[in-house]
Amino acid sequence: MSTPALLEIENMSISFGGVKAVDGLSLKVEQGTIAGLIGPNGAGKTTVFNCVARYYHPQEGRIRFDGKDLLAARPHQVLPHGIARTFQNMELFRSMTVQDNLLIGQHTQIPVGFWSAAFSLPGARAQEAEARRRASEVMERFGLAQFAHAQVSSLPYGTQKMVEFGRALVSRPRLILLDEPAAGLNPSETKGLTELIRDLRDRDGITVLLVEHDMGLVRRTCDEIYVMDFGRRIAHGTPDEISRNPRVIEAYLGKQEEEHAAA
Amino acid sequence: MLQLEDVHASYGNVHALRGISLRVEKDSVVSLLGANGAGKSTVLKALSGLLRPKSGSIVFGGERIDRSKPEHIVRRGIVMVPEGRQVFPELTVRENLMLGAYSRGDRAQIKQDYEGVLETFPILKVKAKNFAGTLSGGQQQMLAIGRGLMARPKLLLLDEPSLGLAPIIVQEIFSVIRDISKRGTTILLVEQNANMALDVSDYAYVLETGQISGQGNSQQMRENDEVRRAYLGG
Amino acid sequence: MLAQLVFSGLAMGSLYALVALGLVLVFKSTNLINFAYGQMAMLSTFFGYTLLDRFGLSYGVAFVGALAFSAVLSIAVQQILRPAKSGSAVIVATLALYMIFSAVAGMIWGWDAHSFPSVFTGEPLIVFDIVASQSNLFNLSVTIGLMVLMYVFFRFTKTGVAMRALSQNDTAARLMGISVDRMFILTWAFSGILGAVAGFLVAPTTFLDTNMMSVLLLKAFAAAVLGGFTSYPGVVIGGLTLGVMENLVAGYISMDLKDTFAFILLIAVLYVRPEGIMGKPIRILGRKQQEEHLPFDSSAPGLSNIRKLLLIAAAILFPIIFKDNTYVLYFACLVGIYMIVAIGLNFLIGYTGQISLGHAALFAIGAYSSALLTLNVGMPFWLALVASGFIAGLAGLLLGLAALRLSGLYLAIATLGLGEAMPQILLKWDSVTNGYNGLKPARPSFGPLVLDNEFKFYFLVAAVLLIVIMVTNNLLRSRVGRALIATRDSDAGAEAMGIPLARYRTLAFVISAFFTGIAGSLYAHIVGFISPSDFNSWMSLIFLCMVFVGGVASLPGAMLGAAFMTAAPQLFVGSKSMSGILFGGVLLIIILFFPKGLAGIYQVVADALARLFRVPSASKQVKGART
Repeated sequence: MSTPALLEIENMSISFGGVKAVDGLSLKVEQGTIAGLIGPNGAGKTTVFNCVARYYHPQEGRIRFDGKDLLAARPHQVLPHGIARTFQNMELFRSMTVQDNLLIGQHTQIPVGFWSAAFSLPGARAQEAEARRRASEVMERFGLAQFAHAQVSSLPYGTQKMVEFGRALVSRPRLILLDEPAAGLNPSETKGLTELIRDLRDRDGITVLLVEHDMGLVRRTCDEIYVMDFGRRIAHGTPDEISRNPRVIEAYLGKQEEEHAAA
Repeated sequence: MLQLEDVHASYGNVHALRGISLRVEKDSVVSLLGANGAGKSTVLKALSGLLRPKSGSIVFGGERIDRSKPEHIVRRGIVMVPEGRQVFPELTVRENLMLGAYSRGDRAQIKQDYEGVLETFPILKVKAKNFAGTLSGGQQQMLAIGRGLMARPKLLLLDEPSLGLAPIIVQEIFSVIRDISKRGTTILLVEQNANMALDVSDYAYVLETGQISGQGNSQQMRENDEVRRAYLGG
Repeated sequence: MLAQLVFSGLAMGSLYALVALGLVLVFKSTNLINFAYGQMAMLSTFFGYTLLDRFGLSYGVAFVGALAFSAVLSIAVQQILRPAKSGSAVIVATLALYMIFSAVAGMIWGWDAHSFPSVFTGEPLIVFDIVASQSNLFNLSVTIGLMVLMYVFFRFTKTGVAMRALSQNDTAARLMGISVDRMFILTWAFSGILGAVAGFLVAPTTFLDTNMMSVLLLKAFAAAVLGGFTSYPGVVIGGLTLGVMENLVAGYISMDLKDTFAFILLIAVLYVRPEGIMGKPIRILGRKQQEEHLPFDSSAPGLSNIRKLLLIAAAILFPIIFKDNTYVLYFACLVGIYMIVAIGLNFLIGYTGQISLGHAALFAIGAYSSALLTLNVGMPFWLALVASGFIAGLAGLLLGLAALRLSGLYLAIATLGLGEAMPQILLKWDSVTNGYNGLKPARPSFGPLVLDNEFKFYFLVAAVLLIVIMVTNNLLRSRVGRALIATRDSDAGAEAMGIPLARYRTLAFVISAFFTGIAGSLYAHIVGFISPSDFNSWMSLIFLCMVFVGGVASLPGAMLGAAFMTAAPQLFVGSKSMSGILFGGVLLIIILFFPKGLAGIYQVVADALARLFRVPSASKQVKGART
């Protein structure tokens, strides 16, 4: 318990036009675990993500990653810290190929300057080859190899989701933020996703923070869950504790949810 | 009252509906359940004329409407309350409601219906002169439903009325839905919250990847293991 | 004096406001910017003039006739623009209409100015030392009257409220039973009427000719931006403010600065209070309009070596074949120079999705830098060539930094303002630039080797072009190029991948400006004479058309576009009018019906030929999904 958590949010608040979107939230994600963040739509979950990704700047509180102050970072400096993310509505580079998306995922890891790129100097070519090798590796793993040169926007939704996953992973991050990864997936795809998220923890040792509505997925993957409502944290605990918590049932899961869970 | 027969529709090259057939009887409440992206909202878009089906037929009150424009469909009595409220943020609450009656010409009746809507949603009376954009999410949802009612719908299409709303507001919205139904408006409801939806509906269809994968009355649906596991969180 | 200046400023400003209102009306409901608006007003005014002059109708009848004509014309334009797929396509399409309308007017009414009668010939009113001419008073009262009418319409009528609703949320509006088609037609008709009113009011104060509305339109853009572009009262205030302020500048500082001032003010205001969302704590994610772009694959196989050799051989053979035809060779040089510009502009528009309607200004900076460095400083040509690239690049850097604060439309208008101001600045600064008389840069030379004929110029241009192509190709296939395109496809996604948006967006401006600058230098030395009026906004718009006609985000496309835009007007020789109509027409058809431009047409034809001869398809279009 003495080692600090990988991601620590402390008493964070942010409001938009006078409305508090996140209100004094604290949470911790321990190294090597999967944490879930759940709550009704509009509870502030995505806002939390956007604060960690540095799109928003909280008016109060702190965010620390691996002991370092994350609030000092600009959005493009978050990935170099070791934090990757996926988006609720997928922010892929749609006109580009799967391979190019994975190459952009390694943008910060290809130390090629402007002039050596412009004149295609040997150093640049070697770096490029290495990046391509890493991209192929990730494409193999996610079953994307056959789509390497396909334009992303031409791929089915589920495959695009995999591309976004691959793009987040290709840079070997330490923490990955997943924003509603199961949205729009059918039950069998969701099952595959469940395995995949567990794999991130068990095989790659990546820490995961997950926002998700699919309670099945959350229960099957998360080590601990934070529940938000109206920008506040209303509960925190293991999946079992959460599904029995009366406040959570009232605000989020609903009464019938409880009955069915008991059944 | 409404009958869809083998309706196919797509966005660009995404084949969103793959042969949907369903019926809505007069004075009933029917809900469409299913996961995100299953095609529920697409069914409503096809019904309201926002998306033209590629094939199949939609018959409403004995007339084909699958080739009609939205404005003609509204005049026939199918009115949609879209997902995410979609009120006009820079118009006042009153202007929003009056636009609901845009396709009607009966002035006196409109006035009366306006009073009726304000009675159903007292908060709208207080806020009548405010811009719709200043209302809270729940109030906007009420405005959106009120705006729909101003058209005097025969069939009201509700797309995710509980989306992003606090549970207490959701309760309120659903009790209004029940009232509207009792007053003789037929309702087709698309809803993520399957429990709530089944509470108010007589009949339900389950959509999966653009096809109907199950149907039945509310009781049957609740007892169906598959539905329970997938949509009721059982 | 002050009161007088303010009053006549208000009278002029009310005209800016009218035109700006017409633009904003259409923009709010359809999100389109109509660059042909001024020419439509001009045509309508000519129409009214004919009714007055030829048919001897009364002023009132002619006025109403012109309004009706304008409304019909406006609806026709709306129908023509319907197939346009993207906002940028609309910009180019309306530019094509601009050419066509100018040409039509020239054909019917000639290119000379006509004087337009004023209804008011009576004595001016004099109130507190202010001389208020009757026509000024009339302008002001007509404008105020129209504004009151618009207010009442939008506030209290069912149709007006429906129009406002439509501009806020068109899907919801359709669900209310509002017919979008009908509303759009109505909006365009209104807008047309406003334009015709402005034309009728302005014609007596200037002259009636095909260009009468050009400056007015640009000022109206400035007024609209000053006022915020989406609020009607704001636009009116913007117009009046602009009118008054430029009159004060003209009265107290310098008459010559009057027109430049509007654009300097515009750029200053945009810089201080940009509409752009940068810099605020909240950014709206994922609301970007999805424009379809050409597929991009940084590891797609390029041309085969054989094809490369063939192309180079053709490029070398060409001047040898036409060795004695200096006209053709000179022309080929121009095409090559413009290809460099188009490749540069494409960097910006195609790969980062930022627009510039002022690239002629950068071209001018390149040309003047090179001319001045060789003439005044005695710098050797080759060094001046590179230096002018860097100087233009520096200007691009400043422009790029400003652009960070501006979103699409505002960037378009700010760059248009820059393009408009540049020739005026060059004129004003005559101690250095020699004003109207221009400069005569020396022939390009490398030490003792002087390139003194078209044949030699050709190889110079070809060599520079080749380097530009190679550098562009390398960049696009590298980390830098991918990052640029990433910022276009998804800014949130790009940032999450560690790409600093600001740096790359600015970089695109710098690269683009660098290429344009060296092209400007080549132009100066090969043409041998430059003067401020060479580098007007029209040139910027032609540059823009090159990129769109050729095919956005395509290197061969940019080159084809440059060749087409330079060569086509020469093919349609004959009368000025016919060439304008034909050229504008071809441009319009390409932009409306072939969104991928000439490169896209080429691809389609090549694919069809390949299929015909059973050769494996040469198409780069990836269809991996359907396996």
